[in-house]
Amino acid sequence: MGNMIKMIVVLVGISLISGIALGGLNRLTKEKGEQNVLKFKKVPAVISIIEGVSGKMSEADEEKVTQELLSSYKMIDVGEEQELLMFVTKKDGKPNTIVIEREGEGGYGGNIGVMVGFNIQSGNLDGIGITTHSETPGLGARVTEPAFQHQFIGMSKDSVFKIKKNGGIIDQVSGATKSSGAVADAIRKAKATYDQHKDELEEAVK
Amino acid sequence: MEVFTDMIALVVAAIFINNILLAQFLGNCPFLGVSKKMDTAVGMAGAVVFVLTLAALFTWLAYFMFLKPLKLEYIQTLAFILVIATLVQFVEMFLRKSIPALYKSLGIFLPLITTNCAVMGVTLLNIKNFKEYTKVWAGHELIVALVYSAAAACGFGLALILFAGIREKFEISRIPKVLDGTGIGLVTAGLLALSFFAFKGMI
Amino acid sequence: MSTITQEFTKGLWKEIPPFRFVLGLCPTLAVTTSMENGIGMGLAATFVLVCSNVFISALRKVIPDEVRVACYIVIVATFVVCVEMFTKAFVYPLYESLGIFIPLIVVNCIILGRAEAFAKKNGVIASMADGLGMGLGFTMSLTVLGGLREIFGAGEIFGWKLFEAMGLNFEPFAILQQAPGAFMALGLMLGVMNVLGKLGNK
Repeated sequence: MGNMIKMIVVLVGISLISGIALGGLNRLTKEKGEQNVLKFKKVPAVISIIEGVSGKMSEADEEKVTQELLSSYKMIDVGEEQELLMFVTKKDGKPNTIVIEREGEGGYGGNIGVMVGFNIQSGNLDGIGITTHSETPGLGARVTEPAFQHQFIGMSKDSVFKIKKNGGIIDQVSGATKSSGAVADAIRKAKATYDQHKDELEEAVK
Repeated sequence: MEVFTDMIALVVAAIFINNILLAQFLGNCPFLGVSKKMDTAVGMAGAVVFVLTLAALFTWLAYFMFLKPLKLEYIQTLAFILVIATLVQFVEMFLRKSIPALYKSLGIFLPLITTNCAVMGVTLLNIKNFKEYTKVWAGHELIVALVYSAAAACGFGLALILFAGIREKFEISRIPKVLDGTGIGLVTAGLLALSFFAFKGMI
Repeated sequence: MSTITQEFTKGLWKEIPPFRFVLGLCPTLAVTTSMENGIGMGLAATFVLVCSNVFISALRKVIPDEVRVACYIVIVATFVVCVEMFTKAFVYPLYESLGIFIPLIVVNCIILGRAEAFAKKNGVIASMADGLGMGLGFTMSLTVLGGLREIFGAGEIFGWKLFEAMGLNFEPFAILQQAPGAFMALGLMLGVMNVLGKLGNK
């Protein structure tokens, strides 16, 4: 019997200490971890949109803009389970682009997360950036390259956002129809969200 | 109907295309450890299918009924390994008492399964893929998770049994001495993985 | 003192995992697509290995034999969760590229294997030396394997285009970056290690 009690006491003791230690550690690192998701996954995509609009930045500028974006992002309630992540980027010090993220379905390796930038004045595209994907390196993963992404800069809001093969105007990455199609899907979704919630998004810019 | 075809696609992908052993590298220790003879390979495969499906159920419940409501997601790893270890212990006791015949063939593999990363890995993947499951089968995520887990375990079993079949031939082949044992096993596993690439275009 | 040194150095060559001590293959195969990932995984495993070895050895007289495995699992898992939190907060890109293989350190057989084979019978200092040696040996193996796969599979090292810089026209063996290449590279490396071991014994 004494043995049994010892077993239970030791197990419970170890679990308790571990639980307390982890709880404390979690509180210390949680915020940093969450900010990292934004910093390493979302912000680089936004930066690539800014660079498409205003040209390549120096590393120091990039650092500055990153900090700015990290402190200024907004979560907009669009009546979905998850709130919509939105960034506002500036050109010459004035708000220029509304950037929202949507996921495109139908990629070769699953969904592709795409940041889509809409010009505040004209509503045309200001560019896109890929946040998450698991496409094949060298093939589908080339949707992350400037060669593919540059075509979206200044693309008219009235365009058919489909790849050429499906009757749209988007040049696909050769050999990666599915990946290109998934990006197009994300852009269509972003456009739909943008049109539907334009007022709320523009309100958030101010 | 579409749900049905989606389900078949999920199963085929889990078994052939994203085979947990050959494409995702989960469960390699038992893969090389117990694949020298056909009957042990079959026993291990059976035990993994059985435990993995159960583990998927219990870890899922633990996550969504306990960890998530209490905002304790960060101890997921700790909770899951405990659930799996306890589960394996119970399965072992249950089999020994109730189905001695099955215990005889699977029993010795059960303790090995606690540290089989295929089991832990798939349960983690289930939680990670929750969002994808929701998109196609909203409301029935648990069923999808169970089907996926069983399919992934079958993929593990298939690879293990195929590999054991090849490995039995090693006994009568001339193998360079330096590669004998694990070395040639790994090279063969590589070739097997390569042959599984052929399934990639299926879906 | 010499025994402590011995405990440390055996993990670096004589019993170097995963070659001499064939355990922990899953992370070895999965994360070694680049040298950086190899080092990261190796150091993460080393941290868990050293900490769990120290704690298990310190508590070895308290832990009843019947529930020792459960206790080991709780201790190991605790440190794995620590590593998860640390990497997420401080080295996020590594956290992303290692993915589920960080939580899977908990089922890395090297760690439970060392607990069972060494830490439960030996003192704290010796267990620490053992964990550190084994961990660094594991890190070394992963680094070399990751380096080879990155150089010949992608033509890069730490993201630096090696062959381009040397002015060579080299088409990388892309297969090395994928699953079959991982198995074959590890198998062949094992062969090379055996040859080296034989030469060393002569």
